[in-house]
Amino acid sequence: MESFHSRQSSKVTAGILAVFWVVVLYLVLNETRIDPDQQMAQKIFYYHVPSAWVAGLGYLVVMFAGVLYLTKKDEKWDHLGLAAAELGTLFCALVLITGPIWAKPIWGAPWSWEPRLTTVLIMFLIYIGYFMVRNFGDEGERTRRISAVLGIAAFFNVPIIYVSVKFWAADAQLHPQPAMSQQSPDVFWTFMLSLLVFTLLFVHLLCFRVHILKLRSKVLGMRYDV
Amino acid sequence: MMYKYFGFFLAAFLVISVAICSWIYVIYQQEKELLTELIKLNTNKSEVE
Amino acid sequence: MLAVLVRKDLLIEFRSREILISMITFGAAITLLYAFSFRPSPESMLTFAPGLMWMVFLFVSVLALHRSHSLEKEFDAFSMILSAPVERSVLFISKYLSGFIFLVIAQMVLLPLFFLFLQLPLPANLAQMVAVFLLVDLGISAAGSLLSGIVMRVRVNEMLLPLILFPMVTPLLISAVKSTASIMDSQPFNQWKLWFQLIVSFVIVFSLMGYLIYDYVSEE
Repeated sequence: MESFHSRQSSKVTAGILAVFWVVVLYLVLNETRIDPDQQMAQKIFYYHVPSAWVAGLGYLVVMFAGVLYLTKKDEKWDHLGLAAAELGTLFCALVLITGPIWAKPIWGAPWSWEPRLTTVLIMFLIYIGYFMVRNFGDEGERTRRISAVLGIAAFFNVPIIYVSVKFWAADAQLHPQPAMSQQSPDVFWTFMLSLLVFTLLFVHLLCFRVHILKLRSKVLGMRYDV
Repeated sequence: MMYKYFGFFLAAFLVISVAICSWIYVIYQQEKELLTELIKLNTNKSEVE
Repeated sequence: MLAVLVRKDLLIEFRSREILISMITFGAAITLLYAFSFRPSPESMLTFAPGLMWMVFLFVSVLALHRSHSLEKEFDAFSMILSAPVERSVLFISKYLSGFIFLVIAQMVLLPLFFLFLQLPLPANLAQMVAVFLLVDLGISAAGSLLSGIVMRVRVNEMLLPLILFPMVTPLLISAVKSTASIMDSQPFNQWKLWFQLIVSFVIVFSLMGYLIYDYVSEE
């Protein structure tokens, strides 16, 4: 087996991602309009929303990987599930950090118990539990199975969590709800580009991580043969 | 750059960039370790055979 | 078959009464702590009481859920049950029902204690309260039995069960607290119908999920 980035396609993707990361930054700083009230803080949204999107995507993949692992019993689905869980939780943490960074100047307080933030926090906590189960379980098929089940159960809970929190504090509906289609072109296209970059980054990192997990599985198998 | 709250934007951007780069670094290191071990195990195996 | 399994769980419990005694003692201790930790005016107490109440029941349910599954680990009883000609999903339902029964029994003792120590007025509509409590207990037991089954195979599982259960059960908790608050406030059903619907959805989703997935959780 060779290194992931020794492949031509991986090198190209990594290069494209690096370039477009800088391009998006440039566009965000120079080309997009300045919001009169929030000014520079509003631009966090070009990073905060795509992070949330990637986190949700990650958790969706964990659920599908879980179902596939339980039905097909192939180890590669477990690798996909773990890789997606790690990435989903990483970006979830980023949402929970960039949100308060934005909120501090705009709302005055970094945190509020409003639906989206609370739902994201709960999902984050559920996935901490997921990683603890992975960690404390032995290296076996059983741990993989119960992780798959946890990933599925966690995802099915999301709509219920969201609805309950939404109506729990009906007064705390502070989260901005920009209608993307009604934004001006500079905002819209920069946002779309950022979203695309984040999605591509997610896919690239996912493949990279799955490759490593496959490698690890192979090494573990060989370690106990010799 | 002279606009309000630039510090907050910078903080958010840096957090995201640093987090992603750290993650890439961590798994890259893990890949390197695994590859060296794989090579070592392969050479051991071929010596035994 | 289901009746046999449930009867077995209940019989074990009634012989030793471990689970129920620990649940009731722990619940009473927490309630006492509440009574001593803060002495708000009766109106404020009424605001906090539903939340405090459901926290007690949640903590207490963890004891039952954990014990119920760990009993099976002694003498490797679990593998023996698995080798019996019983469908795994039925095993889930038996844990689900016995957990529910333990919780209801504990609540029957703890709830009057709670009202007594915190000097709360009795709600006008007791029937509604009983209905809500039974449903929420079903919800806690459904999610808890599934998660307890998942977590039981892992080390440090006493700590892991609450860690995973509490976030998962948050929507149920919110709905339970809101419903209880509305009932104690004598609000008409229409006002808190949404929370009731959420509780029912939660119970349905987790009961179904547990029934379908427990098979995979309990394989050796």
